[in-house]
Amino acid sequence: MTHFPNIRPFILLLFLLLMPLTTAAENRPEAEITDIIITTSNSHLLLFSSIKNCFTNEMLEGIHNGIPVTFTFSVDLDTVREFWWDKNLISHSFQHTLTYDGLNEEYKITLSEKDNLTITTASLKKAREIMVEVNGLRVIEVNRLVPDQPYALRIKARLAEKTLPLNIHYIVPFISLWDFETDWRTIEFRY
Amino acid sequence: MNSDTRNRHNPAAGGSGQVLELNQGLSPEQRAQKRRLVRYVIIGCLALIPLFGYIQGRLLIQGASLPLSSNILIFSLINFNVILLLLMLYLVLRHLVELIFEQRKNILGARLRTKLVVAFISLSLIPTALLFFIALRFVSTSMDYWFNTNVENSLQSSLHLAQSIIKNKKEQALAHGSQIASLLESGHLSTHNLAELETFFTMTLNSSTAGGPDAISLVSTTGKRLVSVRLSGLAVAGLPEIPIEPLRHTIAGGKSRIITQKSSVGELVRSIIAVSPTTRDGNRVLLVTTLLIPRTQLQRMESIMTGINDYRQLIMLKAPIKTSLLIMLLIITLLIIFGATWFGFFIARGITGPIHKLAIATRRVADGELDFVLEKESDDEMGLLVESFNKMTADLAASNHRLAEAHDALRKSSAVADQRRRYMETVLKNVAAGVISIDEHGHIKSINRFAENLLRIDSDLFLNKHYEEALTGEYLDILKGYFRELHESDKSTIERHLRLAIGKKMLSLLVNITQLENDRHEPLGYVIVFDNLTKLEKAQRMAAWREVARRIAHEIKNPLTPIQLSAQRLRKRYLDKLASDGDIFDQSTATIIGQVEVIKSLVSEFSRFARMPKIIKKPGNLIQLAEEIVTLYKEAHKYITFTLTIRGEIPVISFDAIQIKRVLINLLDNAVAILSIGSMVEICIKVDGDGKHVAMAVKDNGPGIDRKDKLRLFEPYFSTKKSGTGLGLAIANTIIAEHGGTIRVRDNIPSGTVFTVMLPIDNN
Repeated sequence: MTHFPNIRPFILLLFLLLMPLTTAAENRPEAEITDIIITTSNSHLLLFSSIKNCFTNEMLEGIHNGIPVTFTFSVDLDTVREFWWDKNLISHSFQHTLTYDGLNEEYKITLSEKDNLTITTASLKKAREIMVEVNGLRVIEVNRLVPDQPYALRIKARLAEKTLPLNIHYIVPFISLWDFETDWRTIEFRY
Repeated sequence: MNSDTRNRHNPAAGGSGQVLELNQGLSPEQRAQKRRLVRYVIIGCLALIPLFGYIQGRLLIQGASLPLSSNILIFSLINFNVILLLLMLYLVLRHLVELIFEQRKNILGARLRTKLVVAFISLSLIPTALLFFIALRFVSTSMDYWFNTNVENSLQSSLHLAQSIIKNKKEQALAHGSQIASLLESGHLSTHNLAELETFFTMTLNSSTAGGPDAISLVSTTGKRLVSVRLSGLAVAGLPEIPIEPLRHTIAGGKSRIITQKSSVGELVRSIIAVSPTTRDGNRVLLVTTLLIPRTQLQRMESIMTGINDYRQLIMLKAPIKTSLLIMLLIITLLIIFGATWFGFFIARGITGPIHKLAIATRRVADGELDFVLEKESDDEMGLLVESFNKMTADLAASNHRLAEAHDALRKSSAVADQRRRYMETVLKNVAAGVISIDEHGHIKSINRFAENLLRIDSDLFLNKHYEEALTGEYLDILKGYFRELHESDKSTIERHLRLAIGKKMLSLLVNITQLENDRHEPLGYVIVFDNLTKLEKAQRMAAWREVARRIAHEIKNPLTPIQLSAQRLRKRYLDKLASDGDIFDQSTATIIGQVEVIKSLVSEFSRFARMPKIIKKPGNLIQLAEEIVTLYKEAHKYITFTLTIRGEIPVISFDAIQIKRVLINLLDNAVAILSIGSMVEICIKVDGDGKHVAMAVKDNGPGIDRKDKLRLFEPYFSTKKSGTGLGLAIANTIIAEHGGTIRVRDNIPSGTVFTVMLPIDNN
């Protein structure tokens, strides 16, 4: 009866067109949240954590070429409830931005959770440490927590570089230099 | 795809209007199937576009740090491209499928359209492909050319220069600071005498050459500024506070530290050196030596920095930019190719569509469908052609209509004429007279059934033949004589009496020959009409003879008895008395008495003939009757051999036994009368060949009968015998005729005569 023209070439073509979109996230170890510590100060619930495997050589090269890198951290604290959805108590979203000053040959890290505190260092190692670490984030006031109540703290980090240098993303929509997104890490605890 | 033609005068042909659709030749099922197919393709596209949107969205949204407008722009661009691509793909596929269908169905115009489409595709494909590859090569080489290593090297050198300037500044700041610090530490200057220090610092600043410090400050470990001296370049902008963190680090860890700080006039390179006076009362302080990198210089350096950064970023993005450009190039190329293909289809349809419709219309006209109009779509040459075509079909339809009307009228009149002719033929066929027509050239044109039967001819042997060819001998002479007589008489018709021997029958005919003429008195031929008067004449003759017989019997019989009685009296009285003439007397009276007796018997016969009794038919056994008579004759005529032959089963038939016996006796008497000693007579009874008659034949081997005598054999008073009354066969004929049968005579072979009596089996 009806004979369609062979559509395999067209499918192949579409596949080839979409290839660049999918290759960006390949061939690198998964970034992940590690070393999560939840503790309390006198007034606040504090969070310490770090990201592993988030820097790549390309990313570092990009940083040295003047491309700023921003990690976005998301932290949610939920009250765990049985037979019901968890109730969100508070959400935080903050950014660590790393830039390199080529003239002075030093790194500047801006931490938004600490009132945009800028730390300058000539050491890449130190700069990387500061970028990946969440150091004593005040999650919530302790007086808002109920003793013996189970809580779940979720954290994740991601980097999605969209704003390419020279506004190239306006003319070349398919490019993405480096992306990563960690999985949500959840820690359940009782206060 | 609407129909472009419409039926005007033929509502019944409404369905066939679809035939002129573009997908002509497809059955309704196929058309529905095609529509379904198109629908599936559209649904497929509708499903694919959101899918692509989703994929793109998933890949692009991950960034999230992007302004919303950029996202929308990217989505729009990508989706627009994909939609266009799919749309074109769909259109091209659809038309390709259509074209394949049409080619397979051998639809008119499909070949032309294929050629046009191939031409368009070729025309677009070759330059587009050429352009694509050139652009590909151009982009590739251009990018390689742009990212030349020389450029990078020179930029790198510029950066190094800028970095070395800053480094130099830092070193200078540190060197100057260290010198002053050593003065302070050595105790030449007291850190308590701030006024003195200020003077010293001012002098130092003023006396320093180019590249010297622009500001010198003394700060306590708590960050409090103790003394601060600056040159005029920094007077307006002022000195920013030293961040507490480097101060702390300097005090805690190192002896010196260099920081950079932005200010409105440029960048400040500041060395922080911890000073520990050797005097006992000397407190630990920090000496901050500041060198200014002017704003203009800084901007230049920053622009070098920005330049090399941009350049390096571009290098980094070289491969993806190249790929993206190639993809876009490919998409645009595909769009052009698909667009050109579709446009090829569009143009091809524009050209072949009207031709196709015209061709279909021509075929329909050829098939006899003249009552439709091809819709005019344009005012160009095609429109003119369509107009002319419509006029032609209209003219054809009109003339066809007139022709049909004429044909109808002709058919009707022909039917009437035919009906009339058939009626006349039927009349002629069934009229109780023979009718033969001859045309003006002498050809026999018709012979009716009566004539065929009467003259015992097969009309096929005569029809359409000239009468001179068809007739021979005396018959031709008779006809010619009549025609001659007709011409000589100067009349249109003549009537003559004719006696004609047909086979063994003698017919008496009343012949009427009429010359036919049309309205303009032109000869059309002749019509010969003849009535059979044979039976009529026979009956008239019989009736006349009966009348004669009755009168003779009446007139003669009465005087015979006195004559006979008188002769007997004379004989009785005078026979003895006339001794001398006794013999003569005796002989004479005996003769008178004898002849009177003969006359009496003759008169009796006459009387019987005149008063034939009415026949009373009863079912009887004909064989038994024949056997009885044969037995009688065998006894009476022993010198003749009588035989009775029965052939086959003889059915019981109804007949008058006395009368039939009389017929048989008459026939046998006739036979016996002429037979000599040793002759044979055979009576043969059988069922006739047609199965409707019983045939009783009396055969003898006597001398036979002349042909001339045979014609009159059954007439009264015809006898070949000297003593015969001539009534025997006439009576026999009458009896058999009244039984509904016939009596015939023929020659026996090798000699003698056969009389055959035919009695009908069903003669109620």
